Amino acid sequence: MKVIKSCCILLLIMVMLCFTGCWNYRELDGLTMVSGFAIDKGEQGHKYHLTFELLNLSENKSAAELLESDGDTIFDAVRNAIAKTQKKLFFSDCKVIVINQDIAAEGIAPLLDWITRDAELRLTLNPIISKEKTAGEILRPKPVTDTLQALEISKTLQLNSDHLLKSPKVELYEAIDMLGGDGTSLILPAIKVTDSRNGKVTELDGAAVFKKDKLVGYLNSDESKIFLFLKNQINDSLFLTNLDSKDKNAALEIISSQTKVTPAISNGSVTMHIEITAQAALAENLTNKDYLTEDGLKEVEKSADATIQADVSDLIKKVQKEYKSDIFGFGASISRSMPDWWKKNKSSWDESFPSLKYTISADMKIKNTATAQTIVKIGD
Amino acid sequence: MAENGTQSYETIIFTNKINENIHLLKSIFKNDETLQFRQIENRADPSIQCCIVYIDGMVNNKLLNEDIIKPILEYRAKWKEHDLLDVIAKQVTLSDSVERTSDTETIVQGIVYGDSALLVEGYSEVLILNTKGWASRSISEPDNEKVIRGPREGFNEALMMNLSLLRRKIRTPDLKMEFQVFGTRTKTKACICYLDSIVNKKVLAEFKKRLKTFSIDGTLDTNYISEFIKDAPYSPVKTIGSTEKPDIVAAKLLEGRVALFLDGTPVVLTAPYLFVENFQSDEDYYLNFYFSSVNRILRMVAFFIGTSLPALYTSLVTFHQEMLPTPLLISISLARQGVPLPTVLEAVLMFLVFEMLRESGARMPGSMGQALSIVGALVIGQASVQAKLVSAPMVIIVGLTGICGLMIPRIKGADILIRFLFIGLSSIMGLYGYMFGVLGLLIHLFSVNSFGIPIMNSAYANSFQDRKDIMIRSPWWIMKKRPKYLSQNETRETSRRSTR
Repeated sequence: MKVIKSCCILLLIMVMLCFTGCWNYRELDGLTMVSGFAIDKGEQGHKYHLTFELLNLSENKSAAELLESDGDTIFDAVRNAIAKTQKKLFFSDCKVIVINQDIAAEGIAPLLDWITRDAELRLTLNPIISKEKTAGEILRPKPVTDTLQALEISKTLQLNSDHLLKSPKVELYEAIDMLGGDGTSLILPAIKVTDSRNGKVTELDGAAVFKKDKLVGYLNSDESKIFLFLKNQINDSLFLTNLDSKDKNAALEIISSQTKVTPAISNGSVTMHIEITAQAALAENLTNKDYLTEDGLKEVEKSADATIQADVSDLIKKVQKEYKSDIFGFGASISRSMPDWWKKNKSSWDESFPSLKYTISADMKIKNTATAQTIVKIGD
Repeated sequence: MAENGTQSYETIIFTNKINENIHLLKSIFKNDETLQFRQIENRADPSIQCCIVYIDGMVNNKLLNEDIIKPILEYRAKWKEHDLLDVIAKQVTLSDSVERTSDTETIVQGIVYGDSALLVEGYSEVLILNTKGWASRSISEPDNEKVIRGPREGFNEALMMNLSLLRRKIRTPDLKMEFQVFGTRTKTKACICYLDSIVNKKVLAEFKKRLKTFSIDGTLDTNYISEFIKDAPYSPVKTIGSTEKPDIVAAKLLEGRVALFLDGTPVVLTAPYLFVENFQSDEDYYLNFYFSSVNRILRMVAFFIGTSLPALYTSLVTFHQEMLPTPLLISISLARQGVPLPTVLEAVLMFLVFEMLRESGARMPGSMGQALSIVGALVIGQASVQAKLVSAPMVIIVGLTGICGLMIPRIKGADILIRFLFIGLSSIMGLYGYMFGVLGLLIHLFSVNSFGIPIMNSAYANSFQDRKDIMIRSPWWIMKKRPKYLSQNETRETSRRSTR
């Protein structure tokens, strides 16, 4: 009896399994991986025009393939793409979304809705603003070292944020936080296509500045680096300064950098105190003067401090004047340290930001001079 | 003759006439022409007539001739004054064991076991002389329990020789050996061994109790008995251990376990059998403890891979593609292009092929090993990948899983069953199904006992001493006590003298 009973239970469980069907079952052969897609204004009456970069696995090798489709919403366009391919588009490995600058100027919040809502797309993908006429052009050039253009862009972004810092690296969830955050504005990396000897290549080019969800302008790559200094997102990067000349003629390799932004109230108005402390190595010296003495290094530090202060000040002024958008998150740091003041003045922040006062102090320490004991000397 | 073919000798009674007794025996062993009768008369006194009854091939003929027949023929003494049978038993024959009996059952048993029965004219009693002698395999290393370092001898098919191998390891009267006979027809001798002061008395009592619960006509291997007495007989996991090596049996006895030897088989049962024993090897204790610990952890990892890897692969590839890193996804999708079978079927078929290869490798003559490896590696592996019948990653998965399965021979059967179960579950519900399977397996493992001791006992052993021989093999000087749940007499080592 016991055996029959347990057999019955087993049978019931097996029947139950059959009723569930193969939940979510899909073979790899039925999927095609989308490595990235570009969003443009639609043609033929549709609102959006999407360009997908797909992994084409036919002929036993992986190659990139572009697929275009139109739709009235993003999802509509994604579904319409099925009509053009035998396989279902698979978005889990989508690394990059390139957004046309004209659409971005009209507001990017509607574009991001499906992208954040859908289960397949990751919140860690990188939205990028295209400086070209259409975003699709960004995906068209042949990648230099990868097989997929989107993967190449995503890796370039990563490497850029580790060593170059000419564009901010913003992942989707960070973008959404910035977009919805109190006292911050959205900033996204920008990308363009440049000519090279072997045809066209894509190149990261500074950052795109948003006010609310609308694109208002760009920062060039040098400004982007200063922006990252301010946002305390500096890793291993070069910082150029000028020693006894107008030109930038010395390179400092930043070892570590710390930026503190503290708001303070005086006479009812807020002043931001920005303190930048950094440690660097003297990595390159183009002058013919040997700075490898204690006093010499002090001189380098002094010049670097002045350069940082001037650059940061220029950047803040530019953003205050031209874009009037708090991309630095000054509002957010006020709301953290002075919540009461923030509650009262939150509504007028947009008006008060352009005239916000600030002080900048920079303290650069030269830790070492790499492996050089002296400069390269020219004999008499 | 009683019903069911088993003989009852209660009605057969020996008389004091030798010819009648011979006739009696002939009727009992009807149609058995190996039964030999050797009639002898003493040279000095021909009125003393004897007959030796034995089975040809079961006795040592030289011993019979020189130590039994010759002394009886040549003995010169005053017979009449004493009890003749007693004199023969005590003064004449040179046999190490002489039993005087009139019980027909005992006589018949003695004869079939290789003893000789000495019938003497004028006596209804019979002398049973130990003349056993038959060829047996020599002591050799068991093929499936090979070691690199440590004792290499293995049991053979002769019970007494096996017991002597064990006795040579444990030289103490504390080692108890109790005989029992199994098989209503085969009358196979078995021996329960344990160390009286160490053994868990409850386990021993339970073991003996279960041995009495069944009856079968023949026991050719210990597995006949094992299946009757073990816990959770339907479970794929072992609840009773088996080994062919005396050093393993000795070690198990020293930990407080019970062993069962059976005549005619080199496989000895040990009980209780805990789950962790599947991952322990005798060599663990003969090699350096760091190395043994690594090996043991490797075996546990092998069990995980052997049961789970194909299931995880199946669920990742058919349900959770988003969990694969992009480069891996690309290479797997590339390999799967044009493969006609769904991943699950691919896995199941490849494992069937692997199990077939394994089984044929185990059964075929040794000289064909090369042919098999060529067929296995080239035809089934390489060619089927090139022909796009299976994908290359699947071949890797099957190969890795197969190797891991071979690494843990003690739990091989369970490993294969669990593997297929997990593949099935994950092919229906992905990782969700796999997790169901793992939970089910854990619930099952934690509910199974072996002779009153939970087989996963070591998993929740809460004393530090009990944990020293589970995941890692601690050095001997640290393992001062036996596992508490196995033995009441815990102390293994009382003191350690410093050499410095």
